[in-house]
Amino acid sequence: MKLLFILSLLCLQTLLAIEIPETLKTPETASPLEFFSIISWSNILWTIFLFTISYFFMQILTKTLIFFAEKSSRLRITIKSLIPILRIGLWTIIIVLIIKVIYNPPVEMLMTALASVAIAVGFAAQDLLKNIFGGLMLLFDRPFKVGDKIGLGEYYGEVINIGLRTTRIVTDDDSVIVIPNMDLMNRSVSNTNAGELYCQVVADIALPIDIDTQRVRKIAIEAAQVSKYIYLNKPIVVLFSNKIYQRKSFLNMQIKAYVMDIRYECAFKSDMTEIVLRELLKQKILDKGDLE
Amino acid sequence: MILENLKDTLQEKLKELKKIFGVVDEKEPISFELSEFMQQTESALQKLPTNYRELFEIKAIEHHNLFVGRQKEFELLSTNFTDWQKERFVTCALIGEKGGGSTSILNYFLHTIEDIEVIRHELHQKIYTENSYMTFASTLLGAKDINNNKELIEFVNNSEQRHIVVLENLQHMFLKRVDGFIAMKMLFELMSYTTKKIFWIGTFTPASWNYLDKTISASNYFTSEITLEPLPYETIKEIILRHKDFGQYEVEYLASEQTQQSKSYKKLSDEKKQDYLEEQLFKLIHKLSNGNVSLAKLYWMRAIEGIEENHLRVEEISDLDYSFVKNLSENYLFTLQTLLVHDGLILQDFSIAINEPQYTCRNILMPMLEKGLLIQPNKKYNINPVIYKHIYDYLASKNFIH
Repeated sequence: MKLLFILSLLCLQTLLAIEIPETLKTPETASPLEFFSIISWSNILWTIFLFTISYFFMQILTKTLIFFAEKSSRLRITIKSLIPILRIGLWTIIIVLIIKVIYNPPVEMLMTALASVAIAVGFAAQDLLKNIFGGLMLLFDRPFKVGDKIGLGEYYGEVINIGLRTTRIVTDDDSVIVIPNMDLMNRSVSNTNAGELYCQVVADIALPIDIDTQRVRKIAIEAAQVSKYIYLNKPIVVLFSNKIYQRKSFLNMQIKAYVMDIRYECAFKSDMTEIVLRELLKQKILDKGDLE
Repeated sequence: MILENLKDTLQEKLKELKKIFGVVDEKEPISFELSEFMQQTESALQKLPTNYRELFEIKAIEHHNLFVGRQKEFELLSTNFTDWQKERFVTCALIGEKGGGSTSILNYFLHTIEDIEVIRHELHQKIYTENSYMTFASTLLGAKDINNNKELIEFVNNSEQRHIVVLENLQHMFLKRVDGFIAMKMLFELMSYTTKKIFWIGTFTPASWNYLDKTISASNYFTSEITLEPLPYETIKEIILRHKDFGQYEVEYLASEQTQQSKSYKKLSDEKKQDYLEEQLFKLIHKLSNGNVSLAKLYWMRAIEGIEENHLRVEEISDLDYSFVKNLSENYLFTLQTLLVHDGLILQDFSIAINEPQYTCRNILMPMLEKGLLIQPNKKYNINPVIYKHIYDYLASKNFIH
């Protein structure tokens, strides 16, 4: 947040520091003809060239950061969360530099152009602006970071990119979902791991109402403890609740344990369920008929 | 042709640069350097005379005048024993890496004990069922016709004699499966009810201890946890030199070609050159062994170029490239995690622990053995001690062990 604030101040300072040529220092507003005078083929070509260079530089920088992030488990989420901020900051600097170095417009002209663009864009792209402001708010407010696992309505997955307009998440079945930032600002978002590598996983298992809960609890705790995906620095909790389905009561057991890496969330859930059911059947606490 | 050569050279240089900065886009295969290293070490040991090999053999120190360092740990053990003699509730856990000197410290401690019977046992095979525990515990304590833990507790408490019971490698008393902690829990129960009659000492590896503490609260059953920290450079050097002096050997340190070319080395007098080489060698041995005595001895023996009567020629050794550890597959990492927590497993136990059929397990373990990642002493697959520390640190950084 501080970084963005400082960057904004720097940009403003640079724009204000533009030297206004004497010929253009008139109290009146800038003439539209003067606007065309600063645009030339060479300026346009330089702009395209610099944008292309910046684009490739940004791609290389992003990939390098992702590469180093993937190498370190502890810093993975922190490094990835910095990427969108860095990209927006760098793009702002690049745009300001292009305007200043290539076009060097007078302040009045800049203000006029910005006002015109703002009015036009404001009318034409209200949703786009809402998304962009949503994106900026996401970066300031930071309800989640790249690498976190978030849930929004029916979607749940790992955040892979926070852009200015949209945020991309990859679901457990490997689908990439593109969510407009406006939606993320207006709806409730759940964050599973909040910047940590581990997160809580809940495995639900339906059991007969008259089952020996003491023995089942012991087995469930051990099932979580012996799973290869367990994160043991956090507690394991087993809860039972009564549920009714088709006028029939059954016990719903929830095993709440932490997985060592959010990427193994589904595997851990499956592993716990598999171990518990196998053990309940093996120890004849549960009958195959109960599962039908 | 020239262009192609230039392209190849540039690509090579780029690869080198990437390696220097850690930006390697291709996953490097596991280096066979590791298995070669083990073979070379083995053949280097075979070349040594039997008496020298025995002197440096990787086993616990039995000559008490070879025992160096670990004074703090020894004093802690002695204080605990004194407290137990005053009928206080005392049990000791000695936590240290394999080859870290836990057996040596126990040897040294036990030789100071008089007038009390010592029962000592080192576990090599897994004991994780109720039946195997009962057989083991009753045999250990000399009890007959005992059917359960309660009877065993009564047997111990009714006996007139007091004992010291030392159980080494207690990490072999569980298996990562549901009900796999039963033997350990029963032992803890036995310990808790018999402290007046028995001074219990158990040794664990750090990975197993941490796992057991977080699963079955092992630390609740031990009033004293003595952790064996890595030995400092000076102690490692003293241990090796004391071994050397014990065998009355003279040492000549040989400089590598690279060292001989160095300007600073050339300026030194002959005597100073020997001091310089000795210091460099022990610094590297300490770094490679991470303060582990057994590993330090292994590297020392590997450094021996030749022996003539009582004259030892010791050459410089080189470091291994451990970067391949970071490129190990997920499957390998989970296997190493399981082996680390258990301190090695035989095929059958490994199969139970990961819940896979034995042929699948063999297909996982054999390539790892071939590549030198694992060793297999007495049918038990274990992590190669040369890379143990690197594997441990990497698994901890990836949250595989806690």
